[in-house]
Amino acid sequence: MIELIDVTRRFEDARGGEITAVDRLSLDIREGETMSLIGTSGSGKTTTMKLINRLIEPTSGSVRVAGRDVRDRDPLELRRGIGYVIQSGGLFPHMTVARNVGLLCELEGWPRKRTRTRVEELLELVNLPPSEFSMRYPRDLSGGQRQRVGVARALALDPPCILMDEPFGALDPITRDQLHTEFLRLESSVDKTIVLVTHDMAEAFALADRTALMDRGRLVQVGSEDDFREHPANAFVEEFLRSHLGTAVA
Amino acid sequence: MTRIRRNHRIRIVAFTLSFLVIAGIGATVHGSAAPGRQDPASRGAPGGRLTGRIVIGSKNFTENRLLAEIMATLIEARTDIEVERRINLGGTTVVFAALRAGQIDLYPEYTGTGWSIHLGRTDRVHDPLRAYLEVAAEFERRWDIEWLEPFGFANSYALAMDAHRAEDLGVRSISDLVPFEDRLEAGVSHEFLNREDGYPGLAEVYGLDIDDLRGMEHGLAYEAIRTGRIDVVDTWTTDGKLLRYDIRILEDDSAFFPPYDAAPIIRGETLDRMPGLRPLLNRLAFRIDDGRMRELNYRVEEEGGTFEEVARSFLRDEGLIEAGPSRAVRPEREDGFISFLWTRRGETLRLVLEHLWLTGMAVLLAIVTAVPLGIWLTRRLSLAPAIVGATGVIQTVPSLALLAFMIPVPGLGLGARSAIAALFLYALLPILRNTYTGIREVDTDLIEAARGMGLDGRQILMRIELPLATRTIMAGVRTSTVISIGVATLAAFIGAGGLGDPIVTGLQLNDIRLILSGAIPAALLAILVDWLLGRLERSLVPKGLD
Repeated sequence: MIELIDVTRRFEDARGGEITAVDRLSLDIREGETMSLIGTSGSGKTTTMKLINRLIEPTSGSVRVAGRDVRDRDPLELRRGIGYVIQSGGLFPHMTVARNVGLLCELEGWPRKRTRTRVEELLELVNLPPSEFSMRYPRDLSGGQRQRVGVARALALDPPCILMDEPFGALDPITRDQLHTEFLRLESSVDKTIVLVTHDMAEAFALADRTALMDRGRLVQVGSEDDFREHPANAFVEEFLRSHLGTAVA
Repeated sequence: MTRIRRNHRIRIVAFTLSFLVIAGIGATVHGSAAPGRQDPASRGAPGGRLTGRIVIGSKNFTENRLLAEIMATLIEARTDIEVERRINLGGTTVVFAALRAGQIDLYPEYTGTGWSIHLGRTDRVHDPLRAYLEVAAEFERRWDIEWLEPFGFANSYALAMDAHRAEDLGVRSISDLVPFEDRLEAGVSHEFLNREDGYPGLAEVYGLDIDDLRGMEHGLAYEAIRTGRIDVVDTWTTDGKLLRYDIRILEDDSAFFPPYDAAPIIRGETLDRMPGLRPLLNRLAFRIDDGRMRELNYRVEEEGGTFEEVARSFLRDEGLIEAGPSRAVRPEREDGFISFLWTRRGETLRLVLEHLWLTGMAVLLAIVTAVPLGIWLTRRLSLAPAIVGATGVIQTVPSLALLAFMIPVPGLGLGARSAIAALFLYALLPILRNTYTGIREVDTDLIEAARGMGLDGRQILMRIELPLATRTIMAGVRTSTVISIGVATLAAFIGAGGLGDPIVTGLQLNDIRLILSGAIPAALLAILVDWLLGRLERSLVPKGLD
């Protein structure tokens, strides 16, 4: 569904030197799977994700979504087909929950009734009863509620793919747990390809089918939790697992 | 959600409509902004009355205004010419510039001023006739401006002291002042302080260096002399107040001051159009001597006569116009402040609307310019400091100077257009800067979320950036508006009207009630408008932002 083919992205840093944020990365994300991108900060995981919806362009290499090179597509049209959730939700504070969620429907020119129905549907889906939450403003919501609204918003046009950038990063452990459970429930009920960036290994393993571990722009290992535990690719991986999960590796 | 947006829209429309209605009223009340002067059919048929249109200007002191009114009344009474008065213009340079630019056709000037200021001659002259002839010849040659026949009096600058103090110190002439120069306090008019034929030249010729010397409004200076706060003041030999205060005029023993014979000066081009004006205005020649002028000034300043009234009765006494009822309304000098305000309520309302018109137009133009410019600058960050800085520099130009700069600009001239242009420039900075920072301050995460969702640049601007920046932008609009209301009081100096008019006239006539009748409404207007804009802001700023 999503293919990154030998992608490199370089930036100029503040002093005029060059940073290689993503270094010859090749990754295949299968349709319907949930892939998490994990690594320390600066590992390039967020940059990689942004290459998928063209918020960032590759310096070399290519990115394909649904078989088509993203550069051949109008970026706006591309992004309308990919849900995007950022940390802390990115909800527009001057719009109600309903308006936030329905924004893309509105921009697509949907009739109001259809938008309203869709919004109610989505809010039900993320466990926020519309009668209670539709008219609220983001500032009246808790962190967890905002996150859920963000997810509902990303699902508005029923995109086949969703990108999530540290979606649960700003939440307390209890809420995060709750949302994990909901996420898994949601995931099983919809059929989407999901890319999830996180720095939390436990979360990565819990939520994703496969995990891609990155270090300094390079892909170190990709696979299921078992793959990581039983066949760590190198010492870095072992060390990463140990420090993040505190468990022994087989 | 849609109901809330509809309410927003209704409110915006309501505010806009009511503003437009008020502005429309102001416009019709205000009338035309610039004197329309292209009038080919200006010569009367032979034997018939003169027709056409002229603009008569005056400087901002009583005598000059009175002479202008006399000429205006005479012309109106004996021809069919339409006369527009542009009185109270701020100072000799403004008036003369206006004459040369064709913004006015005619105003009363003095030979000495023509000699030293307009012609810039530094050699001194004592013979009044020689001064007149040379000035007239030179004005004609250089600018095609003609000096008509003199009114018959000379209004010389002079230095004066309180009579008793002068007696105590034994001071009779200006050179007598020199030994006392570090003990004396002098308060002179700003024009005198800065003119070459004023204090600077005088000080040089007499070797006089008064330590405590400051600029003061002439009307206030006499009071200050009477109460002993200052010792020396500049004055004019025909000053009406001389008849009221016990003041000694000091002899100009070194003959520093040139003669200042008064005469009308008129554009040659105007005379070409209406040659009949020459013989008509020359009928005023030599009818007013020094004493008569002083008396006329006194009647306006001390007895509270209106300019119209005093001019009219003078002309009647001279048999130049027919006797008839005076149309002027006479404000009672003895009136208390409240009844004074009440009498003037119609006029005050008209001035308020005029003031609103000036301010409103300027601020609207500024919004229409500065908001798009501010938005554009957020897309061209490197240009921002230069452009925002440039509008900031405009703010540092003193208001009156900026108003004066506008006059020679083609299409502006004297009057409302220049005032609006200057106010517009002042209103730019707060709105521009606030639009720019308001948008820049929008959380970049939100912009990224919007981009990631697939919103295009225009959608991001209209649905995200502008709504979130509204509060900041409105704050800029409010600041600009309140500043404009204040600065607009200066518009009176370039003949644009507004609440500054009674303030300026009140300063001239030393009538505190007049001053307040302009100043208080202006202040109240600022408060009211700011409050209204606050309400507007509240309805425009999207809910959910706090």
